[in-house]
Amino acid sequence: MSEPLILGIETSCDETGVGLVRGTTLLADEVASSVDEHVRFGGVVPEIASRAHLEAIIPTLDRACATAGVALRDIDAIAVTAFPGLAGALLVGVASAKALALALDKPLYGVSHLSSHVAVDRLVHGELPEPAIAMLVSGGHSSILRVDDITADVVTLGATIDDAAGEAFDKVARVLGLPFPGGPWIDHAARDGDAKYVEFPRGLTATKDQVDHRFDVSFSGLKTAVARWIKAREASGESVPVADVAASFQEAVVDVLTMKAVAACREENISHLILGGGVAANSRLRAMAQERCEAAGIRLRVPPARLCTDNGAMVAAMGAALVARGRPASDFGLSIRPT
Amino acid sequence: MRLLAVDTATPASTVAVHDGDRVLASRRVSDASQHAEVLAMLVRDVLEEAGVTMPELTHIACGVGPGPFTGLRVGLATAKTMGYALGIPVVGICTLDAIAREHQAGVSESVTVMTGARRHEFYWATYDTDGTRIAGPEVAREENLPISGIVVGGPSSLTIPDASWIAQIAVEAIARGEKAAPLGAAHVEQPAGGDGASTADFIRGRTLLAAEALYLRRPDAVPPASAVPPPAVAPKVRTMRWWDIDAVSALEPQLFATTAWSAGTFWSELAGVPDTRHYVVAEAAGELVGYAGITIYPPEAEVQTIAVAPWQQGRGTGRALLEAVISEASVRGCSRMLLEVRADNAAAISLYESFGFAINGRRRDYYGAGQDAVLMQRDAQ
Repeated sequence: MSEPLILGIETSCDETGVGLVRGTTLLADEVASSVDEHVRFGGVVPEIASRAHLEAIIPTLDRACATAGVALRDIDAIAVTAFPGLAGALLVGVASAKALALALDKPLYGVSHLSSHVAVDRLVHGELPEPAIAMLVSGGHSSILRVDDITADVVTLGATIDDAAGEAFDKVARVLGLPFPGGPWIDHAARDGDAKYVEFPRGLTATKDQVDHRFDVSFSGLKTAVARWIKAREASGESVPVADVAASFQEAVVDVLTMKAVAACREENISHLILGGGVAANSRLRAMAQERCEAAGIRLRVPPARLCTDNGAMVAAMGAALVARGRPASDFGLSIRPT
Repeated sequence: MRLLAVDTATPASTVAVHDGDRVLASRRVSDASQHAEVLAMLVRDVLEEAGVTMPELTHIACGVGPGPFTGLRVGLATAKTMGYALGIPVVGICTLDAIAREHQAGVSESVTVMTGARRHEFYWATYDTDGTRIAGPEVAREENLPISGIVVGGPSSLTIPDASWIAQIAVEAIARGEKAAPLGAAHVEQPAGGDGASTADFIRGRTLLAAEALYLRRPDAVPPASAVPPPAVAPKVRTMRWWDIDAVSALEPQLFATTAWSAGTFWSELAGVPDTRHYVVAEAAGELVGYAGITIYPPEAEVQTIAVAPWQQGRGTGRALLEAVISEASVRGCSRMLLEVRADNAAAISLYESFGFAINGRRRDYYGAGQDAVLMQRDAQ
């Protein structure tokens, strides 16, 4: 008897994702993105994202089933991102998931977007090590979690107190004249740059912040520092070295993130770190995390970049973990919990 | 027939089941913040009360608004997904039609129905004594609402529909053999200034609509003023959407002067997508730098327009746009492509020739005195 087939639906931001997972095997991961439609606004516009989800949900479901070579009636359970995220966007996925569960008479699981970013690693590196520290960095989140049981016991040790890491990338990209979304563009530009060109500030790393904000991060001050540096440079009539500024900014972000994640592992006495979220696709973050984990004797797990960004496979992977551990299904009154 | 009807276009979440003769069961809960929580449970309860199982359903009808967007989408996502999972048709009914029908019995005047659109605005439509929708649906501020005839709902008395009314209208229209009208871009908004066809124009005379939200308003989002000139990057081609029309209409007169299309023309063209039209835009660094469109009547497709912003010309944008529309035409089964171009536009003619177009005719003075058009044709090998 084969393991249960789980369908996952993700619509918390601008990607309409549908994934199909059997146990820890990924069968399909289809994503329709409305990112092109947000480019001109320099950030995700919730109403545009919500409209795009409604248009994309059926075609994406259809593609996922076709890719996996399964019929809807073969599905054993439906998982959907219920929190956190943009309210209007989440509602499309949740309404759709409930309709599927009702029409197919299958159990429904409302899941956490953050836990799903961790659970997706099951599909690549097998069952999760528990306990583990997980660091989730994306356009909407920057959190350090302690995971004792991905299906029941996930505690937030720290989070951003202002901008998410991905937002900082977007905003700095904008002042550097690079397109939205900023992450991949800055990563690319930084490859030819000098990371030590400007020593930008590292937020919440001062001694006084080690009590109240031990594992919290802050990128608002960094973003302002970059903008101010560029303005001063332009005022003096000199050109802005885009690659060097991008590299220096990226270095500051990655330095703080990896420093805090490794510190969390040490202090919680945990020897596994899992990275997730769109910013975990950043090449410098992956490299520095690898380096620092090796030095500290921590085993690092990072899903491939394709699975780090928002997708339906991670929700299906989370659903599969819930089913495998016999957790109770959600009822049809399942509510969303927006950010 | 076993038809399930849902509506979430107003503060109410409402569900009904109809067997073709009568409503078997219906439910309504009025709480604007609870659409997503209660709708699925209402569906389950109504089916149970009606003694109808999911696989027995034959049709789904969904109120498509107009209505506040977030709630409206809950009903549509539910109806569309359920229809997809069960493999049965999903049709849309204008929510205002259902309310009007219910208030029309025995009246001798026109009826105007109003539902809340937030921000001191209301969705409204007016119906003749025989039930024909004669104006709307539109969205208007409180002070601009029509006030003649019988008014149902409005600023002083909010009104909500019942899914059993949606079900009744849908059952009758299906029995008449009516087909659901596709909306294209028309469901998104009414063009400002009466320029071009509005949502109301597109659905006039129609009862069964596609299961698409009648938003009537575009999202509130304003592109930020760019502080830095965009870097020169290769253009990216994607499908043209209604929110591109402003940018397209701004470019159009710079490129075509006297023969420029109005925004209304683009709205009408996009309404033909995907059935008989395909439009694409090219973007570079987030800025719209070109667009192209074709008509699709297999086995022939015809280039309607192709345009590249003056500052972007010579960067392969025209080539990328042309490739995109040729590929779509081919996918859609068109073996022949036609176009016309100004005879003095040597650059464009040579671009077309490089894609296998050959000149097969000439129209005298087509673009004005002394300005001939060259007709070109490309046949798939």
